[in-house]
Amino acid sequence: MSPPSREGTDLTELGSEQDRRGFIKCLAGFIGSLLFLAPLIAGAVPILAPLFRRQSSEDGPGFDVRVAPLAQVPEDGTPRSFPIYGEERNVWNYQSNVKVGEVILARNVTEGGEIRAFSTVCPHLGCSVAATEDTDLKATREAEAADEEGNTEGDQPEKDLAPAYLFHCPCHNSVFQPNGAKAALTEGKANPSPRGLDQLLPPANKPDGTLNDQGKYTFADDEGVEFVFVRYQEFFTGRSEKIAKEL
Amino acid sequence: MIHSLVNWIEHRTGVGGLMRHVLYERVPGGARWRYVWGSTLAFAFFVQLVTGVILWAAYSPATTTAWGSVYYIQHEMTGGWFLRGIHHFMAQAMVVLLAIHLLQVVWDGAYRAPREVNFWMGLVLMLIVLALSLTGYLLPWDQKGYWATRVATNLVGITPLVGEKAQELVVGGTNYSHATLTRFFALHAGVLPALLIGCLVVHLALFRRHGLCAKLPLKKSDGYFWPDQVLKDAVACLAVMAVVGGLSWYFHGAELTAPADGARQYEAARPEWYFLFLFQFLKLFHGETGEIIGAIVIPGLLMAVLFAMPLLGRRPVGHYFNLGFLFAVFAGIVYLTVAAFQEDAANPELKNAKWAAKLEAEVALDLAGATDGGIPPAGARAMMREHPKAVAIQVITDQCLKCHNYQGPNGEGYNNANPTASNLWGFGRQEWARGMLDPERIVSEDFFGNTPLAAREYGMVMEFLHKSTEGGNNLEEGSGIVYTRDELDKVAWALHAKAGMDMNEEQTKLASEGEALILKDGGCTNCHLYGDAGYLGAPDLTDWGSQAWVEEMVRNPKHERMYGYLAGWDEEDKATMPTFGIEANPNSGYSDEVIAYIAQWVRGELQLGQKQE
Repeated sequence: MSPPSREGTDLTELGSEQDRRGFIKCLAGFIGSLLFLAPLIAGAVPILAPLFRRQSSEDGPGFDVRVAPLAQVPEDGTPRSFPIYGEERNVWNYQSNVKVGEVILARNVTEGGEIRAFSTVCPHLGCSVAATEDTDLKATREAEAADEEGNTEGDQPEKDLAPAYLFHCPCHNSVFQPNGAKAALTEGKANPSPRGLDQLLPPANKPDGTLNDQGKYTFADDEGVEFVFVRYQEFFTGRSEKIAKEL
Repeated sequence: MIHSLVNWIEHRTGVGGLMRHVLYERVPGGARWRYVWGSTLAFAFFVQLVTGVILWAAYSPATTTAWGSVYYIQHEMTGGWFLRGIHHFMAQAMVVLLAIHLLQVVWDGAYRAPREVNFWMGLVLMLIVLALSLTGYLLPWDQKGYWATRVATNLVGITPLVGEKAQELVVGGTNYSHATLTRFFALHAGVLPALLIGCLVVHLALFRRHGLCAKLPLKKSDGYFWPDQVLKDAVACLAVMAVVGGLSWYFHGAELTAPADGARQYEAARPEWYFLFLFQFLKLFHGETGEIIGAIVIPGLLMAVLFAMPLLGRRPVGHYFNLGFLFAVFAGIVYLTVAAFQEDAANPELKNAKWAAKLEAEVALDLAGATDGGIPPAGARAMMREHPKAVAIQVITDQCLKCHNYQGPNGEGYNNANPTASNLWGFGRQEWARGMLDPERIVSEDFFGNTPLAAREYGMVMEFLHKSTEGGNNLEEGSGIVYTRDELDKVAWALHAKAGMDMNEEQTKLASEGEALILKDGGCTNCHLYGDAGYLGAPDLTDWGSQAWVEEMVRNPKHERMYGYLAGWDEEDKATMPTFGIEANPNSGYSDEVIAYIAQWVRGELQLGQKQE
């Protein structure tokens, strides 16, 4: 923008006057925009602070935790969810031995009753999954049972004794099989989850602190009572790959 | 005197000239109702600004205090509920008004040159309003807002390349915390309103620069903004205010569900109704790529087309494309929203989840408003985790109702589709006891139908009941009939009285007759203990259904007074309820206080007094 003309300006001085004014414009513009940016620059670092905090324990994200006595996991294979207690760091608050999440434990009755542990967080978008009855499978079995009654002669096929259930997410209809795998699509509905239900690993270390190299979930305490332990982790949602988050 | 004061002010400030400039905007073709929509939006924003700042004066953004402060606004502060209701419903009104405004602008072709930049400014304003809704939904830190926001922020997380970092920045870390609330609040009450005001000023300045985009043909001679159009605008704004005020009054403010708890599942999670179409849309895509397409690519493309409309609309055919596109999008949104409502309405599990969520919200409000209690400094989540009454409600919804049903005759309550225990609706009352004494109903799923007891006891109880009622009311000697139907009615009244349920004189009389019938030779006391009579071959009926009896039943159903007589039977565990008392079940049992609240609930006596101001 040009300044309003002044009367009586000496035309011979105009050239250097223009240079001088140009310099002042640059300087004023520079300092002005710097001042404008100053609070934003000062604020940018604290706003980005969450990206700079990284605290990973030696054995990776998550922590080993004793969940429940083995006896409390139903023997017929029905899944049951248990609370997980741990430390909670909530910015400036700290609490230990507080409920931080839940895990689902189930015995794999078709394969020797081994423990399966699942995260309750849906890998789709993070709602919480729960076991619901698999009505289709139940109906199929009932129909088979009815067939058997009418046809008792000959060899009977071995009965599948595992309870009929699926893990179901109440938000966007993700469904998982008892082994955590994505269940097949049903009646035109999509199963939106990008991966199966996240299985929790056995604890990294045994209760005595030595490496849990056999991948066991259950350990006895001093009095011989068997307890289930897991490595408690939370995972990023919405991805096909299962990646543990820093807690 | 006044005149000279006005002149003085005008001379020193020029405010009068400014007002004239603002008010005497030319309106081509005169004032019309169809021009009111922009003004209603500006008014709605003004209401949000004022109510928002007042809410701010009472709100505390930390995970330990947010729910409590919103509880206080909604249920304690004089008039707080109405203020909050206005803020809540005006936010929804804004979304509706935005949709109308956008449709009208496109319909009228008001995005064409020279108004392109202003159209884009309008779209930016729309995005800011949607962001305000999204951030505001979390602030009460209740289960509803918490779980909806978890989904929303996880959607940020799936954005390719920057998603993970962007999510951490929005959430303030990898987990939901105080920082999530402070950040959302800064966005909701600071950054977004400031941006909105800035964009609104530009939007209005550009609107004045280009003038009103008149709908042709003009029907009247030109008019001025003041007073003709202002009157129409004011009437429209009044209507909006009346609707919003009415909604706030009718719904008594806005809903506040139970305090947020990330470690407690919330199966009733749903977004606000105007985001339901996105929620439904996401069900259609699967896998990581599908999700990115459904949640980011397609919505992004839709926005891109909206932004391109002024360029596309240069030619008539482009304008018709724009119109067709916008109507198709709106039709899609309506279709998806209706589909989401329909799917939810047909979902019995969601109905149950909502029922459970309501019960939990009620207990939270009850505890927060208790005259001899309140929210502890550790926060509302701690209150819900530790107070025996809240724990009792959680045991009921998470454990009792996994086996029991709780369904009334008209389908109300909680509908367990596969109950393996009795229906607790109306427990302790005559109707319930009479159902138990009905040979058909006792083997139905309302009682023993889905338990091994049905088969085991058939030979005894069922036969007994058959005998009792086959003869109807014709009790003949030697027929083997123990009780007539009328007598069983009376026995049920006696049990009703034992449970301590309310009854009138007539019923009290029936009950005392019933009591004599219980003691009749070869009757109930043949197996049941009743006071000094009978023995423990079945649960003790002495104080059946009373608070103490139910507590004992919940604490330890295997007690000799309860189902102890089944001890040693190989189906004992399947036939009896798990033990819930801490003594009988040291690992996962509950204290007597919790058990007492559960028993109160079973007897329909749990008081959840929600404060109404």
